[in-house]
Amino acid sequence: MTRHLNIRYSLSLRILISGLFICLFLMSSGFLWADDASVSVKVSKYDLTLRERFQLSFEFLNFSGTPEPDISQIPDITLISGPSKSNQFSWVNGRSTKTYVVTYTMAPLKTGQITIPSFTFQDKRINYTTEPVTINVHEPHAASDQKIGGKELRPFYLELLVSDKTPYNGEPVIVSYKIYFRQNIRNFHVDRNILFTGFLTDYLPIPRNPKVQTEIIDGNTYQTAVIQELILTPTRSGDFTVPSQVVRLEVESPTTGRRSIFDDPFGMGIQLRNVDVVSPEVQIKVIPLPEKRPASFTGAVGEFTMTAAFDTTATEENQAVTLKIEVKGSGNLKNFTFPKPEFPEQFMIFEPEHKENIALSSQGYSGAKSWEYVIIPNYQGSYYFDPVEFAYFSPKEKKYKVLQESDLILKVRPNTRLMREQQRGLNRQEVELLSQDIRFIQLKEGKVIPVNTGNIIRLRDFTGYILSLIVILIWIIIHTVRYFLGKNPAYLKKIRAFRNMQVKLEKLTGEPKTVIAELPRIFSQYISDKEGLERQNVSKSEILYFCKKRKIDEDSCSRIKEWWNQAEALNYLPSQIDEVKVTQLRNDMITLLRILEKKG
Amino acid sequence: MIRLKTILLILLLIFSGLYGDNPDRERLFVKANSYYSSNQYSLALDLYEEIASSGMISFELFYNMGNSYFRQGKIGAAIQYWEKARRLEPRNANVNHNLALARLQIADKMIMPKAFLPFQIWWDLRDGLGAASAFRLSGFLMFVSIFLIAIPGLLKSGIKKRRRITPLIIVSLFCFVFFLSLALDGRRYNRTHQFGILLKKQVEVKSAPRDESNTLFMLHEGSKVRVLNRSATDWLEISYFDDKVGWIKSKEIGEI
Repeated sequence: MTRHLNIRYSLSLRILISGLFICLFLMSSGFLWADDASVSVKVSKYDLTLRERFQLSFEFLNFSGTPEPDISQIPDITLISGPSKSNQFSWVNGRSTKTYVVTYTMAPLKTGQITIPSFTFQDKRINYTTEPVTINVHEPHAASDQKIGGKELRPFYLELLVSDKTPYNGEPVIVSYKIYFRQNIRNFHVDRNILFTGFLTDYLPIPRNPKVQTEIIDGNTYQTAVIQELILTPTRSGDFTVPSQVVRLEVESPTTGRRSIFDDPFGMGIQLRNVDVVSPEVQIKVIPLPEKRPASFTGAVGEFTMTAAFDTTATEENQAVTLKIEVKGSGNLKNFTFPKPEFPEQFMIFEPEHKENIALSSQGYSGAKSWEYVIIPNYQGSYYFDPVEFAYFSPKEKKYKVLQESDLILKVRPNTRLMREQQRGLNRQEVELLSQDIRFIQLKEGKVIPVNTGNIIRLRDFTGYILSLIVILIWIIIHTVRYFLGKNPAYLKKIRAFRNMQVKLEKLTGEPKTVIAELPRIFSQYISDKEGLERQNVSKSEILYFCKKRKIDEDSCSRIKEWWNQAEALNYLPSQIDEVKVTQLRNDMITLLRILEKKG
Repeated sequence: MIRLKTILLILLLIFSGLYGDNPDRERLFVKANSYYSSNQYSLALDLYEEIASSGMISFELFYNMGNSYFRQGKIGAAIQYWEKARRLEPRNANVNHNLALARLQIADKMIMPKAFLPFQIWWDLRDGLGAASAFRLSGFLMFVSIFLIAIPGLLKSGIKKRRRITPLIIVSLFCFVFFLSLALDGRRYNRTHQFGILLKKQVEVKSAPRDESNTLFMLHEGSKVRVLNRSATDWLEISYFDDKVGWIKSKEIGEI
């Protein structure tokens, strides 16, 4: 019996474990997803006033995907925020359920019955259709809306404060969201995805610790704090609506009943919950700016001052000068530019460099904008610039105002380094040149050189230097020779002996008797110079000895001997001397000395 | 290696005259000229370019190329080639005439004002003569000086004559030093100063070698600028009349 029971127990345990594994497998494989998918639409309120908001939720049950409803097809309702999406999985009785919810915060646009039409969604090729939902919207009434002083005293509500509900086009408006609360708020979240039609929007940073004040509203004490501020700058005139703002509050509330460990883990008796508060809409009427705008008006609205000045009062031609124009004040600083000033034609103008230093605060935009024009004067002279004008619309005075800076004078001195040719105009040669044409091409190519050698000095350029070198060489040679000769006077005498003899003969004039007496002396001097002798007088026998030494032929030697005898004889017989004999003796002597000269 | 190159270059220069007799080159040159004469400037330029691509150039080649570009309405390229021709023959009347005419047609007409007179004379002579001519002239003056010094010494009555010609010797020596300095300065100037002519109708001179950088000033076709630096990205730093400095793309300029 006991064994039978043990077998049954063991079998049941096996079946249970197997079943558990199968279930886990089927669960993990998604096999147990319920295939009865559906979709439904839910609204948070079916009966509401025109100022109230409601949540519109699409609940997709067991859909395989994440459909996106097209809510633009819902008439008379506007989207305030959303969508927010959530996924939920549950497992009940072995069946899992997947719930996907898409929620929108909506606001009605009219009173009466508004029907949210049916929506069709497709999943796994099957269409699922929602049921139409109808909501009743009625006019708001103070008692039920504000609920302050009434039966229902609301713990939280949001007010939208606008600095000016009738601004001028372009005049910045400060919009503040102020929360009134009677319970502690731990945190809040402002939805910034709101479209402000007709306005440029700038959010101010959300303060970390908003300043909390106490106010008494209709006898009830509220804590108040501005949790968001933004600057709206109208871009066109007309009636506009500042849409509602939804703020999600995380508020502390005392726990009631059974406490959850997750809500109040430390048992402080406080639990956190989310509360959405919605601000009312505000109508703003944007007034158009008056007509007859000044020429220099470029859209500035606010209160401004202007300065314009050059960085120097005097400069030189072709030197850059900077004209700095600065506009300071408060207003729509971000939305206008400065009208381009007029500059004289003689200036080269560059695009201005633009700088902004704009601060955002609860008072709107304030700060300064500047434009720096770099201009270069082309010509010298004193330049008086047209006044720099800036027009803006003053919302306080409700009229246009024009600011002017008229003392802009710049003295341009002639540049010491540069000047323009245009300044002096064309000279006569250039004017004549204008009427001419270029010269014709070269018909024959001349000297051809390798590329990149155009600047090289060529051989022909050295001609002068080569000639100089030759002259120097000649000079050196001559001087060397002279120097050598100066050191050897005997040699000099030797090489000059014949020439000296010729000179002496040329100079020898006078009586034939005297000439005849001189001729042997000149002869002997020649021999003396040739032989390098100290003495000048050489005898006949010595001359004949020299002839033999120089290997002069016998005939010449005998002729010398004969000439010498003849000369001596005439010296002793002066009566026989005549011109013919003198000439003959002279010529014979030259002939004989020439023979000796040839022999060295 | 440098010595070998110098020797080769000198040999090339000495025998460069031989290349002038190249019949193919002569034929191409004559044919290009005939194209020019029949107003077919584009064809003429093609042939001139072919001649230039041989590595041998001449004044006449550059001059004719300048003329062809001018006839095509390309003032920048025309000035570029005439400037190249002028570098080879600075005192050639034809090229100076054409350059003067072309410069009247360019938009940027800035000129340097006259400097301190001695400097101005120096610069004008340097640019007008060219380094080679100044060097040649200095050689001639050296020869004259040497001749005047040497010759009286060779004569018997030299000492007396030398006293008479001493002022002449001093003048010729001074001129020799002047022109030699001019030649050396011209050579240095040519080596250190690289110039270019703007080829585009309008060139934006930028503050940095980037397209997105600021435009400092505009220059126009035909303006002569000095090339100061080259970037690795095909940009050139240029100066216009020494006081305006900026960057332009290298393709916008034709270097001389």
